[in-house]
Amino acid sequence: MIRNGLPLSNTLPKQLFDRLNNLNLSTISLHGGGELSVPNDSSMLERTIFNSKLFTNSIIRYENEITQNSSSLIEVIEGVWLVTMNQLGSKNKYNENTQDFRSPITAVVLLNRSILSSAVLIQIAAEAETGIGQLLSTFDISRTYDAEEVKRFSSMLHWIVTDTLNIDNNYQELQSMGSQLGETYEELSLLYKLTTSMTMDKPPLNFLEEALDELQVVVGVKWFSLKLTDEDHRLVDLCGKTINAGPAPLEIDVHKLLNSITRSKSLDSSSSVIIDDTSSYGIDELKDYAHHMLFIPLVCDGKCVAVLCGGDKQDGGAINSVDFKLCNALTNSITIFLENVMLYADMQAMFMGTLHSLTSSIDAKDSYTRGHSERVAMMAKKLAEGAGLDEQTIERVYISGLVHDVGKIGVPEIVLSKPGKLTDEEYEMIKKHPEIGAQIIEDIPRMQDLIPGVLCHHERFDGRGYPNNLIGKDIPLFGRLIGLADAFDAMSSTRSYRQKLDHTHVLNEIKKCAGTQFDPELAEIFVNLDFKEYFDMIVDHRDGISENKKSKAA
Amino acid sequence: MSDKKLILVVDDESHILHVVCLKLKNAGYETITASDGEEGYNLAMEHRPDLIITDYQMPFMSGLEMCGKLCSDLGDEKIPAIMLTARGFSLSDDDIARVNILEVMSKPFSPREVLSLTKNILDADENTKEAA
Repeated sequence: MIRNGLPLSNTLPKQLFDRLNNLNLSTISLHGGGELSVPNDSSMLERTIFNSKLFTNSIIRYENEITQNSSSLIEVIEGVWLVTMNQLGSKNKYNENTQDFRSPITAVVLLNRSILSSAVLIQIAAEAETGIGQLLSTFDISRTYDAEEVKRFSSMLHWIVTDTLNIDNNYQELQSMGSQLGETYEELSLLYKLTTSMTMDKPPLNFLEEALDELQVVVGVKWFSLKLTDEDHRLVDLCGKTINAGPAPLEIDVHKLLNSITRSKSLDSSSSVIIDDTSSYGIDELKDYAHHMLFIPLVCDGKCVAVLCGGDKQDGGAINSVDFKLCNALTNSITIFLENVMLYADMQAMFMGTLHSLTSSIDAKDSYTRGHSERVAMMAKKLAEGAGLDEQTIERVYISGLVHDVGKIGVPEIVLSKPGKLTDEEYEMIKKHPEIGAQIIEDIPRMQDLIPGVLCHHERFDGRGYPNNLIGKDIPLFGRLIGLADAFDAMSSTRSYRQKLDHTHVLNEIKKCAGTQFDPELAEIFVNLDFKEYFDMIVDHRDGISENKKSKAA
Repeated sequence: MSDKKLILVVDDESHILHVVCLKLKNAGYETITASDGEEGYNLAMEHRPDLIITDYQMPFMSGLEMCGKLCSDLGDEKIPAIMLTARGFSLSDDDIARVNILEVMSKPFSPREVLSLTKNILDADENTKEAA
């Protein structure tokens, strides 16, 4: 029976449909239960056949064969052949609800020439209460075939169908691979961008902000929030910080939420979680933040150092596996970055610790100079700050100040701590320490930039210093800074050869020697510095507390 | 002529053509492709696309040569171009501007960014045409 009002279903790729039409073949769609759709231009003869009980019953009888095979040639009634093209193959059975095939099956109808004079046609015409002459009057006889042609057509159609279906499949596959490849490009370009900006020379917070912003755009969620824990003290400035991309809810307590979620699902607390519907979790506050959410903990050395959390895609869809993969790739990079931050902190701490031990062992050679290097370093740093130098240079000035007297290792203790006046020979020995110091640190990588501070801290602005009698601005900046701090500390503390001078006296002395011993500009800045920290340090050093121990205690 | 903007994508690596075209088609652009500069030049002369997205290094004719040839043959009717290059390939700003390449992106590129650049260029183009 022909179903009214239904268009010929488009179960075949369009190009296949067009080809069948070009071959002047009639196509119909089978819906199951003997029902079918036909094209509007089908002939009266064909319509009468399709509407006959004989045809309908026969189709029902062959249903099994039609649905089991992807393509079959069936003589439905004498002289009427169907070539079926069942795209779903054996999976195409009845849909319980509609009592139709799951997907309509397209078939090509081939009429055998013999039908034009057969008894079957008489029966069908009688059923339709019409005459054979009338049926045939509008029929194009060239659209009938002999038995041999039907078979040939059937094979050809079979090939065409398999080929076009294959092409269509390949095309679909190509599309899907193309889009997957596109995702991979996206991921690759994101990771490339991140790894190139993953350097230690800018504040770690900047990197994390950048990374999160990029991820938010690529994944297309409304917001991301990265909460750092205080599990690891080496993340100093980052501990407890929150970095947001997009309008993230401010009051969200990510760790508490993640804990509740993992507990409610009896998951490991370090598992990632994707939530499709936050209202179904029984955690009240969750649904206020977003409908779809994801949580990814960042684990370093078994410790959860941060949790990434994000919500709702811009397009309203669910967070899918591609998004999740991308987020994971990024959190892996961030974890590595945080690990680096921690290792860098370790390295820095070890470096500074070593330096402090080294300098205190030099200062210990002479009981009068205990804490001298620490104080010079601190005052040189303050002077550098006062002179408006950049942060990194200030740090290097400090370290250079710490090691400025390292060359004293090469000067006999007896000379260093000799009370009273030195002989010329002894003075010559003392005068060697800047050069010895420069030689010592020369071979240490990453310390070359400290050499000027060590070598030139006894040069004088008027050229009468040592070892090279440099004049004025020819003396490197580090040398001028440390020389000033060094002279200040020497005058302010008691030495084996004299008592300390009082503070006002020292400052007047510095003012007086501006332009002869000291760089006049720096001297001007120096006398106006705040000396509170210096005097606190003097007290500490007298009580035997070194900088190193102090920082450890903190 | 259809309202859809036509974009010519030229690259000797077919996977790149796939990814770029797919992204552009999904956004409603029409695309044609060529796998080297010479083919790209011929297609551009024949179809006069609204934009060209091209690789730099290709057999027969480089992306730069192709754009240069198009610029000199088409005169005032300039076709804007985006160039995708291997990372580290440095092209001078002069070279690029001379042949009407508006943007250079290095591989691995983000298809999303290619699309947004395309939109920007074509929308700006539309606006100037409307203004004129």
